[in-house]
Amino acid sequence: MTAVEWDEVKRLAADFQRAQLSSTVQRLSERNCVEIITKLLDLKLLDVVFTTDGKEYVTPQQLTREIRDELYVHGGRINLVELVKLLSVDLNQIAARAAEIERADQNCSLVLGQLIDKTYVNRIAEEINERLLQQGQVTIGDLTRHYDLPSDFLQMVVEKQLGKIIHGKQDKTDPQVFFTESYVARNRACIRGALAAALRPISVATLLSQCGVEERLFYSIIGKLMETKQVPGVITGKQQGGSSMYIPAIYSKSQNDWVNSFYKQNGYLEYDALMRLGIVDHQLFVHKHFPNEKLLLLPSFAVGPQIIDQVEAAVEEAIATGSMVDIMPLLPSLFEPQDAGEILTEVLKNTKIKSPSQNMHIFCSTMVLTEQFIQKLTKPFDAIIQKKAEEVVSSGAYLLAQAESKLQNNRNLIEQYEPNTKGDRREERRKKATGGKGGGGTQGRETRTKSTKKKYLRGKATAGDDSDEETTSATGKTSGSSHKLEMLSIAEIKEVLAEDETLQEEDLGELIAEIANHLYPSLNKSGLAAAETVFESTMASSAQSRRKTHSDLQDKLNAMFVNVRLFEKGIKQFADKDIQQQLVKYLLKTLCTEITNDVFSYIAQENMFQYDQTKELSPEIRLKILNDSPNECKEPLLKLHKSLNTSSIEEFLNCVEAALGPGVCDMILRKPDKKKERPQLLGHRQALLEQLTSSEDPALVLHLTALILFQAMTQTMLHASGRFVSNILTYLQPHLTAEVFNTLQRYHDLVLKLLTTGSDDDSRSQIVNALKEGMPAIKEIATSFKKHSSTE
Amino acid sequence: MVDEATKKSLTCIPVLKTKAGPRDKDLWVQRLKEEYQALIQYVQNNKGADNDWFRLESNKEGTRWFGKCWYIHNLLKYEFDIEFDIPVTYPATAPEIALPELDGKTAKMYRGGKICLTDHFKPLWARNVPKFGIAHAMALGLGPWLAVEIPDMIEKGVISYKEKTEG
Repeated sequence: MTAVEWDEVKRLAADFQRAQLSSTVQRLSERNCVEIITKLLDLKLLDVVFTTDGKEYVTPQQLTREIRDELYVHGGRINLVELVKLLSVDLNQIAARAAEIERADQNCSLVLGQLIDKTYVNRIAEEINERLLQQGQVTIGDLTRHYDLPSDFLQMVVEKQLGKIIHGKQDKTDPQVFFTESYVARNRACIRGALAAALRPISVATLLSQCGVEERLFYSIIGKLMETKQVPGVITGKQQGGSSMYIPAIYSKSQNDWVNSFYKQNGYLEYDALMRLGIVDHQLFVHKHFPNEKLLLLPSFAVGPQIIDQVEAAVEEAIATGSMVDIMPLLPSLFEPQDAGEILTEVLKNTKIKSPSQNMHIFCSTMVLTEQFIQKLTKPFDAIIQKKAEEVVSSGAYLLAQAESKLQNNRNLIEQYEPNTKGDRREERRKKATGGKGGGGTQGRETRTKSTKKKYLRGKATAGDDSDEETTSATGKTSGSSHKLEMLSIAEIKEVLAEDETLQEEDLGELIAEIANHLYPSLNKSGLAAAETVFESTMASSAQSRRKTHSDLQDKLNAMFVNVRLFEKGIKQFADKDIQQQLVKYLLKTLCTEITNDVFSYIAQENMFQYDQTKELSPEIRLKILNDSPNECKEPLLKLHKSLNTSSIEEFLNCVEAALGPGVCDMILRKPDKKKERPQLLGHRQALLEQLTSSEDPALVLHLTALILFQAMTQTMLHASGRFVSNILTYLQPHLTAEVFNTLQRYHDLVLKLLTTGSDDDSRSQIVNALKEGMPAIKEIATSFKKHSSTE
Repeated sequence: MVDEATKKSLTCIPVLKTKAGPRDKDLWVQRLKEEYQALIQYVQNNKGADNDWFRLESNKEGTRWFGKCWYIHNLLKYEFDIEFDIPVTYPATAPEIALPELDGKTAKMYRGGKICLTDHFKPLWARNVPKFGIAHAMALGLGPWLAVEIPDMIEKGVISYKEKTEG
């Protein structure tokens, strides 16, 4: 036992020795190591990389190897940031290493901070292929999302592997899309089926949504299908955005069939109907569809030549027979009057070319009336117009209207410049309006309505400044146009037209109204013309007479003027101022007043003033005329009027001269002529003598005798009333023999007595008898004195 | 007290169990075995800590021990011979380790080169009978002594570096 123990001790001793002899572990403290390595690095004897925790050094080679290992572990793709974590080495170092690896190794590439191996690339290529097989198509965009890799890298990968690992095709239009043949075939079949099934136009968008086909693919497929004529139809519209439409051939065929049959049957096309068929651009469609047909394009219809021909034929017939025609019954019932109107204008264009001499009128936009027809219609009016014209002239309404318009013009002249031009313009417009109507057609009507409207407005606007114009016009017959005399009202025209047998049909009220409107101006014009002619003819005589009265008046005035002068001379024979004055007053009151009245009434007539012609002109009436008379006449007339109230013949004469002068009465006053004075005197005397012989009134006889004697004595004429007889006698006394004078004086006394005695019968009859007895003696004195004087 | 490092190395040395001296025939064997095990452990510990500082071997009975110890100062290795006997009263009495080369060169030494241990050593040892053995004596006694005395002696020029190939 102890031996064993000792052996054991021995063994332990040996162990101990061994333990002592075994080499010791060379151990360096961390601090030393760091120092050593920094030293080595300083000396560039060592190239190592620090780990991020600072506890380890890695040589670049090791790092590269580790990176590769990690790459392998991670299946060929690893993010550099991940490497930083795994290897706990600075990112810069890793990036540098990775770049080096990429450079050195063909199979590795650095993409978007990730190191990617060829094996990985192959693997994703296979995956893509699988995906492609599953889905039929892949886009780079999808792959980018799926693999989180940049699209150009993936694009490159896919393109590289296309045909090798990835069995598919690249879309020609979009290089980012890949698909398999089977996918394309499937889609093509789908589309072909859908398109073949389509009976009506279908928008590509709905087609796509139903088939589940990509839009891009659709267009390429449909292009191919179209090329190979596998699809019955066409695609219209833009190729992008799904706004295009697929129109099946069967649809367009049926559409065309319908359009053709409809057009053949009816000769026109309704745009609404085309719209219902899905034809949007109908005009273009019509042009395309009937390139050889001459279609008239109306706002809502396209009209074929058949209908136009029909209308044309009808119109021509109407022209030939000189009647009217309504084209409305010839047209399909859908047509609106305005369409018909357009057709008519078109037709009329043609017919105008064929028979340019014919003047056509369109009424109610569908009726065609030949000029002849209208002429025929206007025939019954001739008599009416004539009658009316006469009526109007005889009633004085024409004159009134004429005068009014004249007055208006005068007013306008007097007023401002502006109203003046307004008047002119109004005239012009009236002319235009009537002129336009002569041309006929709807146009004329247009201008008419417009002009009346304007006139109406104008009247309102100017109502303020010419209100009295309104009042004067109110007295006239017409109320619409103030200056124009309405010969025939529209209602009257309508009435007459309605009696015409060609217009007896129903529903022609409108036509009649339009014709009436059309005829109204021309009829009125002709009516006015007729009235004018009637007036002229009546006026011709009256004008002649007027001219005559003018000259008569002139002569009369002349004579009176001369007389007044002569009388004035006679008055001057009296020495007594008082008597002279009285005589002058008398002269002014009688002869001069007559002259003045003549002048004023002439002026009034000339200017068509209204005044009572039957009565003598009183000073008031004179004044009124004066106010109404034109400006240039006013002053002389006023003077004339005033001169009557003065007591100077001279002044009066001057005024008369002025009043009769040019611009006022336009009369010529003859110069006082000595030679003419004599016959005048003789004439006067002769007239007095004649009067004397025929008169039986003693007072008058005495008066005349006195006048005659005075004239014989003084060789001047005297104008005096009976009151002046005694004065005249006293004046004559020295020149007469006492016998004669006594006879006269006695007679004069008797006359006075007769006048002063009342109804005392005896004395009166006595005196009368005495006067009668004395009368021949007096007459004798008058006549004989003439002889006496003539012998002298 | 002993310093931290010493204490740490001390704790790493397995404690002995058998209380026997060279006179106790069988038990001594037992004790010797434990001594060896402790030493092996201690040496291994030292080597492991790169702190190998001595070589020891014993006679057959394990009563006399001899060997070498060394101390590195200023990158120079100073080497000295060790020898000591196991006292009869062992393990109640600690062995007296001697470095004969240094006899008379330092005050901390008894005649014959026996090192003069610190005041702490003896009571510590007495408290730990029979747990302490040769390994403990080396670690607690000689280690600290060398660490204190050798640099002092080198400074005084008492000892000088001798070229040695061994180590």
